[in-house]
Amino acid sequence: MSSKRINCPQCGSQLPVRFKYSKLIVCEHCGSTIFLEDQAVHLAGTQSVLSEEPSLIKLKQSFIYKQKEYYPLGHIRYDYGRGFWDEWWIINSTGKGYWMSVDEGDFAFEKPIEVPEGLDIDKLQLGNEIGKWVVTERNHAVCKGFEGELPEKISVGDEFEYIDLSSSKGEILSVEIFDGKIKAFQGIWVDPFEVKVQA
Amino acid sequence: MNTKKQSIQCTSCGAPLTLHGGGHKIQSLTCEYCGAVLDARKKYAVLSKYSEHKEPYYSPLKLGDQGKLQGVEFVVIGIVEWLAGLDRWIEYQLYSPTHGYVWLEYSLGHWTFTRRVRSLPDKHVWSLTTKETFVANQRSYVFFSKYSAEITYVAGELTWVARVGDKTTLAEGIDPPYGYLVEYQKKETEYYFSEYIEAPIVEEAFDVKGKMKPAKMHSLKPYSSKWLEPLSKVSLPFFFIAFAFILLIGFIAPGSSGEVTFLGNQSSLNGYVKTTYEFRVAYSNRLIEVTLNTGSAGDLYDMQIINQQTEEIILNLGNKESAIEKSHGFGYRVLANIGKVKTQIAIQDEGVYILSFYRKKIISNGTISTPFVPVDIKEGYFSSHYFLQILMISLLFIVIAAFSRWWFELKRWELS
Repeated sequence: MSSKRINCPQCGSQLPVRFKYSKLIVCEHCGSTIFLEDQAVHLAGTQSVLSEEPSLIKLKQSFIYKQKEYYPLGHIRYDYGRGFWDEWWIINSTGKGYWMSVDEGDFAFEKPIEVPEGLDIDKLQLGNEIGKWVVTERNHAVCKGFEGELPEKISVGDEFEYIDLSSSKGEILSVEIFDGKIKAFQGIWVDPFEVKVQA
Repeated sequence: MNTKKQSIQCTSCGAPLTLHGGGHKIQSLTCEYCGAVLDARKKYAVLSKYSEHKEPYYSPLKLGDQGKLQGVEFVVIGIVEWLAGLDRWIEYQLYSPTHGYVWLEYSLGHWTFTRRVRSLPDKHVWSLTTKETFVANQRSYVFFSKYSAEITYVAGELTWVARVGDKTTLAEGIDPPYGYLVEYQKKETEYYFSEYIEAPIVEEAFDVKGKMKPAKMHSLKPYSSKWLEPLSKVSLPFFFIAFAFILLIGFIAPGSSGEVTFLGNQSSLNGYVKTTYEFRVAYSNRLIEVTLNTGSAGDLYDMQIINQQTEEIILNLGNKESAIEKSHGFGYRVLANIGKVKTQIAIQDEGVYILSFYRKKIISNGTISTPFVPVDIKEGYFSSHYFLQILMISLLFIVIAAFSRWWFELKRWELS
């Protein structure tokens, strides 16, 4: 895992950037959010402090899943009305990034994919079947806060629409719509008892 | 475990209720005093209420009990009692802030730990027949049973709305101590992975009082035997080693044939014939096998082997029946087969030995005959006697253990 060092434009503290494609980092010392663009560093303001909730996955505490080690670099919390879920940006030993979403014991391990060709968002209504996929959830979520190092820009209060599709083989396909842009992620449901946190 | 306890009043009867920490996926709260089912997502509005509320038949755990299972701290947040025919069991909904919701099932002293899975089986489980196999969650299961069950008691927080009298149908596959359960509900089908947990583990984890002796059998109870299984496992390598040695001795080390010279027959007065042979032992401290091919030459009596040089009697047996009784160890041993007498004897010194034996004269049509009795000597013979004993003892343990397991499985499948 390579790392470069930058200084926080707010407090001057050194910020190790572990992921070369990181676009956002939260200063551990002053809580400032810093956007990384090419070689430039922009202060985006002070972000809200995430309330500490019990979690199997913790920032900068690596874990093993299916004999592979992952290192949580960043963390976003989303509110979806009934409650919240956490998205963990994790990287493996080769520096490849994945998302692990955690919602009260429901763990999903996903990686960003190209948006499937011909995807018709309007057809993705709850219960609809599209090939092997069934739409299991369609809802809005609001970003409540974040910490660590993230591969994308995000701000507290950002609201987006998400659509979850599941297959009979335990696969999951997530579609996110934010500011008219569509992103897609594909992965699998994870048994939390298979996630072993390193002591 | 620090759980976020909350106290509310039942919106039906006003009784004080404690919420033991379930999260935002909780859909219902059932009053443990009046049985009213409340909507956890709509300010505990009453969904159902009952004129009478029965207690569960037997519940070793209660709401709020805490314990550590599979390395995770859980709290009991909900209780559901089920009845299927004469079988009654209790499911405890457990909650962990880090691992979510799981089920701990109690049935006649047996415990299983169950959690929802997302991967579906490769076959339609409901349409399978007993002992057909299917694969789910990367494990192969044997179809065990399908049944309908009815809720007879509900209390506490649950991730779905459960009411007394609600029915469900279930199909179960087993791979003890693991199980795969398919629950067919009105609107959807849920899939669960189960694991049998030994009662002392749960009892210790949750500090269970008034422990019940488990019933003899449970569908997921793994076969175990304190002595037979370990003995069988230990016996297995002994069996194969003994078997290999017996084959080795039989095919590779049968011994080399030694020189044997017939010296003659000598009649005695009392109706017996003394037959004498001479044979040479080339090496000291070797096991010799002497085979007398008596055929139909009459019964054999009083066999003797003498060292010609020292005149030391090496072997001196009475009739063959008593010789068998006397036989022991590698000193000498006599095996009497039909038409053959085999004697195995450890001879210390090389040299020439005299073998003599008596047999009854055969009188046929007034003529006395003394048929020739060929003798074979095998020097450097290896006896498989002890290996045979090891083989038989180890086989005995293996067979008894196999029978014990077969009997156990028979009893398991009587439940299906």
